[in-house]
Amino acid sequence: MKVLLTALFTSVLFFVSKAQEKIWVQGTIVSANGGKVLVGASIRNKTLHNQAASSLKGKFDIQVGNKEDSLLISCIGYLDRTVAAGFFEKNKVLALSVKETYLEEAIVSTGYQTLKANEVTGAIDVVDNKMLNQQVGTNILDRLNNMTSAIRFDNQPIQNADLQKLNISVRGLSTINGNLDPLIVLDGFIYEGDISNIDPNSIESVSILKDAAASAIWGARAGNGVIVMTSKKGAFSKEQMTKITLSNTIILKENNDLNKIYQPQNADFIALEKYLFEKGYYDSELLYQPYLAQSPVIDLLDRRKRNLISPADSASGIAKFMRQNGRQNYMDAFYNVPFVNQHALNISGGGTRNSYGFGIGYTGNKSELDAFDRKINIQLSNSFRPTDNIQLDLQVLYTNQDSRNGKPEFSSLSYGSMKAPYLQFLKEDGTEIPFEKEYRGSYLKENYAKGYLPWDYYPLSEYKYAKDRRQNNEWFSSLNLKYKVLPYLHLNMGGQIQQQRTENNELNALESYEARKWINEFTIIGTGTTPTKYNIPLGGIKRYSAAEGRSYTMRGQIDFNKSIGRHLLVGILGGEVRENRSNTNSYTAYGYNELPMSSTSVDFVTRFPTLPDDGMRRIPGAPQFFKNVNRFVSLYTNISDRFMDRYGLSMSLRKDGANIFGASTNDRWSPLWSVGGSWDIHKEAFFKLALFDYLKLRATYGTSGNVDLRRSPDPIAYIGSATYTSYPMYQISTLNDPLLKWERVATTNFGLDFSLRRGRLSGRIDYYVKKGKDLYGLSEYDYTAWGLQGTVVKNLAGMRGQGFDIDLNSKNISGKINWDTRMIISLNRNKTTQYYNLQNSITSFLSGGNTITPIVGKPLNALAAYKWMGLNEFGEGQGLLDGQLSTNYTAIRNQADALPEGNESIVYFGSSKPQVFGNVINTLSWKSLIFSFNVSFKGNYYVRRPVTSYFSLFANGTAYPDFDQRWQRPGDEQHTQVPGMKYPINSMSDTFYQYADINVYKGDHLRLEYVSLTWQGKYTVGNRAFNMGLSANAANLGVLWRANKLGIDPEFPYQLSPPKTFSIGLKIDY
Amino acid sequence: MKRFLNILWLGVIVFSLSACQKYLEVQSNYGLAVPNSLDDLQKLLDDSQIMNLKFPSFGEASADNYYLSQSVYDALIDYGQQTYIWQNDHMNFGNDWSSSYSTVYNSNLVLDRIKKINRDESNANQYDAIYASAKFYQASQYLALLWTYSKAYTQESKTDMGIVLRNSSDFHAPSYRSSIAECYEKVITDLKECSGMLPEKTSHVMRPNKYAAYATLARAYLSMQVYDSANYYVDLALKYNADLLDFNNLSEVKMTASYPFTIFNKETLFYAELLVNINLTSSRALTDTLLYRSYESNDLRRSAYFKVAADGTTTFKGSYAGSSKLFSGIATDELYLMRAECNVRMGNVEAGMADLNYLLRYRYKVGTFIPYVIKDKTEALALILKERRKELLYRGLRWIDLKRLNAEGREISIARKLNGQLIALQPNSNAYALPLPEDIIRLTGMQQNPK
Repeated sequence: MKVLLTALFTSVLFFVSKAQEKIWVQGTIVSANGGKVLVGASIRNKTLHNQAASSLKGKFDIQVGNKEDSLLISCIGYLDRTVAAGFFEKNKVLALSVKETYLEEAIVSTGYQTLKANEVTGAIDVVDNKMLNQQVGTNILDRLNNMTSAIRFDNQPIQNADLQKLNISVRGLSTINGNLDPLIVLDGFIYEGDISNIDPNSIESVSILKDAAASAIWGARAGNGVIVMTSKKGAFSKEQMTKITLSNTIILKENNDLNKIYQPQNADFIALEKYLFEKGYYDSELLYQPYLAQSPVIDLLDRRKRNLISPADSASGIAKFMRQNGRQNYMDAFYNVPFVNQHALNISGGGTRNSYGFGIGYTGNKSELDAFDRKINIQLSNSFRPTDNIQLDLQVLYTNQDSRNGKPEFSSLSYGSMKAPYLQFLKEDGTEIPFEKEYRGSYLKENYAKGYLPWDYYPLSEYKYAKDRRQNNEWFSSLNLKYKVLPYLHLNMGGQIQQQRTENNELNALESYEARKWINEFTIIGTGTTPTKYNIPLGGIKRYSAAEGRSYTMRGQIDFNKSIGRHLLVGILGGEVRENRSNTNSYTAYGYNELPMSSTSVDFVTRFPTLPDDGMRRIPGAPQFFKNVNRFVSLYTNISDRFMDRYGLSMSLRKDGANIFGASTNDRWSPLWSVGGSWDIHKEAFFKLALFDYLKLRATYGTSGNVDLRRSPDPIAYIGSATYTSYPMYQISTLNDPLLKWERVATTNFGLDFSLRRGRLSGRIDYYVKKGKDLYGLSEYDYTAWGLQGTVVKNLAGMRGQGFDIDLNSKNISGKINWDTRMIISLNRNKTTQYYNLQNSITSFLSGGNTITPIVGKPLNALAAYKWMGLNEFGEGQGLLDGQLSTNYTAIRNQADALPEGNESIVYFGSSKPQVFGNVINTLSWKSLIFSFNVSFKGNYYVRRPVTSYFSLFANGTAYPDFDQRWQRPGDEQHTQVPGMKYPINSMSDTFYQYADINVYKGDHLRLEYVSLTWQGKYTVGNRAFNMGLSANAANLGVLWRANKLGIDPEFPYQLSPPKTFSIGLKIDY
Repeated sequence: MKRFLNILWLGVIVFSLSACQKYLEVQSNYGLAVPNSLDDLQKLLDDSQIMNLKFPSFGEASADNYYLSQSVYDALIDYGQQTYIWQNDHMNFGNDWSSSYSTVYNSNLVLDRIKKINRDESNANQYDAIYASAKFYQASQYLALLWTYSKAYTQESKTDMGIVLRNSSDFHAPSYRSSIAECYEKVITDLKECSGMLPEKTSHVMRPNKYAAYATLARAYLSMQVYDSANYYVDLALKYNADLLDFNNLSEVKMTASYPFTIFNKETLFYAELLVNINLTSSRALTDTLLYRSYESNDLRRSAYFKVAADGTTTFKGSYAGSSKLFSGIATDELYLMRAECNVRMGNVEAGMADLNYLLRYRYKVGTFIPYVIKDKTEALALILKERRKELLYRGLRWIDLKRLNAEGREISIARKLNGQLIALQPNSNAYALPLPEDIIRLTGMQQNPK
């Protein structure tokens, strides 16, 4: 690694040290607006290919060959100027004028095409490199968060991992069923790999295609929006510039404070355990499954009951647990200091015939539980122009990731399923105490001690013997050939190959609990002359799985760009084929030993007697194989016409085909189209408002569709192996429904781009209307017809959504001190306009607003709750049934199911998804210091707070702070709403209380996302300038304001929120 | 130039039309298939999890062979409690109904798709076996559903509500309830049809053979109280295998093991299991005390069937599944008991007693069993019914036995004791036809069973 870096540096230095002995020219660079000196402006000699930078006083020296040498003077934010070296003989000072309309600068990449911002009719957000660098984070998505109005980062856990890998959505969802992730495009090709493999330091800019017109070019898979990433590359230039960027970041994370999670007080909890024990709650388990782990208190109570220990021992044992603070004990014993460091080096440059880019990145991440993850990214890009007509671009990205497990999570440590608040891991003398997570130690000791391996589990040291390692290697390479057939017509032939291999190696040595437990469970102890039989052989257990993914794309495309009279025609026409292949295989090896490497074969077919559960089980881990091949064929075109440089018209059309399994031929092809127009008003002669520097109107309309493969007329079976017989068998996994129609979504988008008073206030406003028809949704059905699932996909509803995306930039103060504000706001409202299956029960949307509301006119994801009428004198929650107070929860639910609309026992709140959200980013700069902070807000939505369910408290030990306020004696109903604890449990009462209106709150809140401070210095070494930047950033700083009075973080109610992180970075541009 | 472009695009279009279709014909997921051939259909029937192991268990959970201790009852989830006291009227998806109808769907799918295959000389045997097996699985499941969700077969069965008969795999076809008589008619017709086509012997007892169909016909007729037909078919079924496990033979019944019986033992004619039921797990269901006491000390079933806990309560370990799963298939012991009952009811007391004595000899300790000598029909029948209950515990038979015996006026009243109070279920009560799932009633508009 070091050697490689040194070699690189030497070669780079060789590149740049080609200076010649000629004459010197001096001068000063100033701003045309006010004459202030410009620091760090670059002065390049186009003849000699050398350069200089202006000093803190705006002065520079540069060598030139003669007075005719042409000098290019450029500075960020100013227009370039080219002068002859002789200019500085007459004038000492050169003034650069300010670039005013920043909007036209931006280059927008759609993946297929690179356009100037003014050629675009659709809604596209661009996040440039500067914005990407405002935040730290090892994943590119961390850098996009809070930077654009287009992407919503959902803090809720992913519901269905098959459909969703990234927890983000672009402009909300357009389909309810099917893949929910936006499409990720890297340098023009679909990226199928793990997004964490992309090194954020290697990304130059990101475009987010939001509306149908922008994304239609990507076809059916673009329904959820498209995120186009462009990596850093060298540029062709006559100056032969070599740019080196070196950046280092160190991130420190605050440890999660587990004391923030609510757990009942030890005294309350132990009292509860005693109460349940006396009531006989544990009786049948203690009697018939005595081998199952029990909490230490239950274990003591049971042994006392059976007279195995004295009353004094039992009491002192319980008293000992009374003193334990489990969360603190865990933090003391398990936590270490987490640490992330990230280093990147990028080198790029180019001449007239070739350009190159090279990047190498390293990320190391050690968690507070000693899990370790390291990632190496290498990126190479090269472009050649052997003749003026041909350009060849080659790019290779390589990622290597290696992760190892650490100590177990706090949430994984429970006795059986019981999470007790008095966990203990270490004795007073510091030695480890075994933790009974599955089986009861005292029972095993009595019955299964002799001849067996030890059964003890030591959570603190297990990771030394049970090693879980994940290795990931990925190659992503592309080759593109551009041939200039005519000045206005280019032919592009491109291809991309991606290969990714992930291996999981779980190695449990014989010393590990994992291996000992499995071996013990399958051991039959010998008696008399029969020897002990180990059905799982003595030795380690290795679980291995490998997933390999390969994809390729081949593309042929014609680009044209021609002015005809006052028209400028820009367009593309192309076709591509894509294949995405994945293989997975897994196996488990027993009796495994690393050195000498050996393993023992086992019988995966026979069912063996197992212990201590007296069961009959097979040994798990027989080899398994999976294979998927997805193929796509697409034809696409996108044409735009700009008339008089102010009127734009665009259209795009795409047809996709895919090898959807079981689908009939017609359904394999889906057409998508869009049209759009734009008008640059500020270019009109009649538009004389001096206020506006820039004003542009845009409008687009496009459709997208989605077909579910369940539309297949054939039943689709998966292949498996039958229970008991092991015969090959087919099981119908999806129900065939030939009546399903295509899901259709039409989006209309109006956009306004403007800049006021020389860029003092500029921004973009997009208004969109989304209309969905025949949307898919899970619907209840008469399962007498099938029986395997309770719901099926149906064309369920129509919806109408509308919203604004607003992006405003204002320069509040400029001068010595600059103060800029950027505000991004998304407003989004939608409602169900049609609902086809009125028999659906409302109970599903009572639970959280994650399904489509079956009521026309209500938001798509509405939250509803039971009307709560307070507690009665028995501490039971009351609802309304036929206008009367009632505790007949079943009847209340049934009535609500039968008549959801206008039912007095149900209260509708509103959307469960934020209908307004956005960020305000303030940046203050003074001299070389830049200070910025980002406040995000989410509003106009409702959340349900989790409350104690006695059922889960008894079963798992989980409770919430309302537990402390529970009704305990008559009279309490005057001042509490929390039902009393009853045994036996009425689980309907739990459910009624959980879904009652008193537990729904407004989710509105403000959050301080990050604060960062940057210092930038410019230095000149020899005749080259370099920039140095130091930055400090603090992120996840918590909620600043919330609408609810309970102090709950609406996104993480009673959960651990992402820990605060602090980072320091050093960046050198040379 | 223009011409060049035209040719290029023509080429692209021709290419895309011809080649793309082929390119897209590659299978996307290698683990998926569309069942078309006879082999494929056999694989649908071999999905034992759906075809053999999903027989309804709520009838057994409503019956009187077990009881729950107060503390177990208190700790039980609501629907388990309600099942126990015959008030489980708001069951939703994930129940007996959905499980049984998944077997029905698979059978219908096979029956629908086999129509598209030509039966000829080369495939006739396989064709018939698949067709008949599908009919068999479906009829067995219909019978089990009838036993659970309908009243006993009586004079009123032409009008009393039976279950839903699904005639195709089309899930858009609406469900409606046929009468009990129509349902039994369907079961009998289908079983008769398939008994003629099923093979004599199959490669596994999970696949039905001819004799399993005869035995199921006997079960159906017995529950309809048509004893001569039941006798006729049980006799045919016993022709295949009359072997009984000898409880004295430790290689056949491992008396000391935690589960003494071996799965697929020699008594098993057709293998099936009840769906796991929360009330019937071995940590909850305690054997009815009087029932346990009715086993004599020399009766080996006493120790082969029951595990005695420290507090003297007993739980069941005698399933022919050889595990905690409950066997509900067909075994020869049941056949002997059916034949004994039919014979006695038809007046052949001697023949009936001979079958009973033959069976019990294998159940008692060697040399301790003294064959019963009973001449009186009523007395003999009472004994056979008592032994039937003692032999066929937890096989999904007790609930229908209670119904049919009460239908003939035996006045068996069962009761649950909770909080010191008795909750009784009167003979012929409406509650004997368990309520259909609440969501099914809501979604289909079908009529619920009366309370």
